[in-house]
Amino acid sequence: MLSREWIIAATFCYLGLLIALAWYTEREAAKGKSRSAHPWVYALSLAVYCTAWTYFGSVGRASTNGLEFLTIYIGPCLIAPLWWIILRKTIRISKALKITSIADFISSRYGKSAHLGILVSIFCIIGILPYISIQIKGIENSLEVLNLAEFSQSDFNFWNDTAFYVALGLAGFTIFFGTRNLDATLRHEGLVMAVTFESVFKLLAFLAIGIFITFFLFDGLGDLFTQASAAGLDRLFVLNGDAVSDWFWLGLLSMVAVMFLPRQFHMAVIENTSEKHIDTAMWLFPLYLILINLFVLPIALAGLLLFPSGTVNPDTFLLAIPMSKNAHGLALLGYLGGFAAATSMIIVSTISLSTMLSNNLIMPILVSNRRLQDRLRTRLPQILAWTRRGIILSIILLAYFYFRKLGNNATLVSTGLISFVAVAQLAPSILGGIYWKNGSKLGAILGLWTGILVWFFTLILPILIQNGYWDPSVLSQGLFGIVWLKPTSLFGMEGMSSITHAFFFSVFFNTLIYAGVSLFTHQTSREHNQALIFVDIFKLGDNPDRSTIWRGQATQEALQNLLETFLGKKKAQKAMEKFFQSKGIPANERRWADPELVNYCQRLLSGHIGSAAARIMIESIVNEEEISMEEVMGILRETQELKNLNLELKSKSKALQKASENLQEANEALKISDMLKDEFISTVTHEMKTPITSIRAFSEILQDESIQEEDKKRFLQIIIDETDRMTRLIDQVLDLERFDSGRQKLNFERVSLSELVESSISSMAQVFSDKNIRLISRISTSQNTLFLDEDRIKQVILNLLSNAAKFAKSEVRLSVFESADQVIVEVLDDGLGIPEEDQPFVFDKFFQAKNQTSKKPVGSGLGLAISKKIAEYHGGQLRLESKKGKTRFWMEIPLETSFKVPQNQVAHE
Amino acid sequence: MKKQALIFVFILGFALLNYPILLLYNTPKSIAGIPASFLFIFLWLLVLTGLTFFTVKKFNKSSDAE
Repeated sequence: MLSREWIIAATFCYLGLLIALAWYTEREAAKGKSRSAHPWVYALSLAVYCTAWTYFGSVGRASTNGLEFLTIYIGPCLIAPLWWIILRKTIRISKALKITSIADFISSRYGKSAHLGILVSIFCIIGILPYISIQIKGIENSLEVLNLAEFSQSDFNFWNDTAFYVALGLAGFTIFFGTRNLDATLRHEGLVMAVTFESVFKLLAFLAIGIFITFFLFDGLGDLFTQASAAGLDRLFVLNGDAVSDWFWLGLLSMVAVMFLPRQFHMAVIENTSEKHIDTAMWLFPLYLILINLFVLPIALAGLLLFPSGTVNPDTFLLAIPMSKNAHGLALLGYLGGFAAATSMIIVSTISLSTMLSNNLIMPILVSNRRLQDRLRTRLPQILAWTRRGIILSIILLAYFYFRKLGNNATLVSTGLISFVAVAQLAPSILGGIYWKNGSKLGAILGLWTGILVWFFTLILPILIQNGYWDPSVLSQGLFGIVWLKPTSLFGMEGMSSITHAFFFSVFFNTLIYAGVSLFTHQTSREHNQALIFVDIFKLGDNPDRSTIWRGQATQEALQNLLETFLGKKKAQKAMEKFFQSKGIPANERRWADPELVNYCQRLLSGHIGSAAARIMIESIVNEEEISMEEVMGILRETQELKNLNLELKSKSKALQKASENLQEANEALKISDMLKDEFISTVTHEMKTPITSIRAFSEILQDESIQEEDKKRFLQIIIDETDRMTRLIDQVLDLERFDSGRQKLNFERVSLSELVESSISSMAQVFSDKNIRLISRISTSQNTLFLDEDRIKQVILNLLSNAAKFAKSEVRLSVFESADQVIVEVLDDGLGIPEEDQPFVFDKFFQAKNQTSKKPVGSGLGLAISKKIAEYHGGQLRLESKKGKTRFWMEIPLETSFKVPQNQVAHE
Repeated sequence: MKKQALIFVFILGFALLNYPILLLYNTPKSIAGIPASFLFIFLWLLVLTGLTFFTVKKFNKSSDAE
């Protein structure tokens, strides 16, 4: 038999170990070595989800409902992959806004509403009481099994009740553990490590007993199941009838619970050090749940097989089996495991609930009263700490009384599920809050109230009736005698278990009213502001302060004083310095704080006293002007319009710049062409003047009648020549103008190039022989005919030949040959050559070589320009090359003339 | 992509462990003495946890490489 002393000693040893571990962790953390900031620690600390319920209750539930107990763990396993989406966002928001609890989270989302904060806090405490009570019950049960405690209903007096002292001891331990640090956003490193240790410990203890029962008392799982089947227990292997619908709803319920139970929220969000830890938690936590549930059904079956029905409470099979087999060591281990499961839950729950209540209820009340605030201001931190301690004690005592007065006859699981349904009421306003900007404060408050009332009516009222605190007729006849208002079958809904029934209706009405009211109410500016921060947290970056629209004035000094009250002088100074450092501005230069600083201080304070109280504190020193929604929308709209205008302006000015550039270009082109025209006109008139002068001079001479007939004839011939020259010039100018403007029409026809060249040569032969220059021609082309304008090509060849004749010393060579896909007509002379600097201008209009042999320039200077145009009109080119007194002009004509007017000509049309 | 993969795991799990697929293995049959429902539920849970594990590993590795 296990002696009383042994059990007490083991319990104290265990608690001592926990305290030592926490103390060690915190000492290391103070040195800067964070032992608990590890993904495995984070994931395992989440296993605070597994409480005495899991430890004892699941076995009890499995012994009556079979596998149904698993829903509570399947839900969390299923939702775990989504933590990366939902939990990460929640963590991001909470870190940014220094959220301290789930009530703070909801209150902050809906405009830092004190009303919501209080409502959620109080409801959480009431809702969680049954859950805490089953932990005390679990410990009490296990002590009974170990024959340490004996409970008799008849002469009950809590002074003699072991459970009462267990509760007191737990309260003391929790107070010692959880309330040393005032800043609720500060991580409780020691607490996290202790909870992690408890998680590992309870898992190992459970597995040890499971293995002992399955493999030592029985011959493995197969044997155990076969024996159970033979004993008629195989009804527990399948879910039948209602269980299938329960399966779904309870799975859903546990998904919600695992995220929104205050202690889960505390562990998963407040104590989180890095979002990356979620990665590990997403698979390690489900794995933990799988392991701890593996032997639940086998233990339940073993208990049913070993004990005659009704003799042993199935909730205690885990300990009763080893006890009955005299495995006292294992029984003690099991007891400690259960104790670990229960204590971890109680510690974390009460810490989170006390923070919640003190920050959302006590603080706002204390600080909203001016007189009280002035009187208590310097002592607020102490008051805060003692309030939290008081709350922890009260919660545990309340849970104890719930257990003794209401929960005595119920199983662990059915009691725990009541708390689950309570917590589920928070889901609509939280999920709506982080994904739906329009979720409004009024919607959240009314939705919550509805959920709470339905929860109370469907789950708590029947318990009150059972324990004789309420008129039982409500149960059978409905509220006020209305049949469809029966607590266990609302609207006559039958066939659901009481938990599923309550869960469905409470959350259904809660969501309906939350969404409905939100759709038809307007948010205030502060609500809208918070909604934006919550929903768009990933878009905001690291600074949520800047996104807020705020109007008001506070002195920097007042803010500093306020911070000093709660953070202490040193910390406040540091925080201020940090702020200004991050902004890069000196601290002591301004009297008025900007909105960003005010928000920063408010956020810091939130970490200590909750967002609603922090808001009230800040408001007390700030002359804030409430901005109406219309104004905010106005500001936003103006900003938007301004932005649009700006964009428009930018694009317009760009277009303008482009247009002006185009204009400038056009202007340049115009200037050049104007200059060219001037030049052209002056050149043309100059060219015309020369023949006209000579015509006039000779005509005057002819007027004199004393001139001899012979002279007269000669002079007349000169006049005719000069007139011809003028006519030619005018023809050429007109030609060129036509080519330039693209109006020149060519007369294309099949022409034999060789014949054309021959005829050109013969018409020039006289000129060459006159000048005593040899003309050598070489024609080699396979092409019989080409598609050309005969006259124009001839004009080019004549022009080239006459130019060559002008400059050649002794010889001119003319050759026609094919190269690639073109025919080349080439004229080469051995004249003076063209200086390199002149070469680019040879084809310009009115270019005259400087060093022509004759005194008077020969030709108009338009010949080559026109020739080039003609070549281009044929799709070809006219080029030149001049080196060492040899000049070579050649014309390229493509074999397949495209007849197209060159592009640059088209532009003029 | 990581988000989508995790949502996929969630939906898969929700389907495998709920009505109506649940009815496929919610039978009195036993496999090697172990009830089919017990076996399959734990099997699916392990598979899903494994899938989550691999998803996390895979996408974390690829995001490190980026």
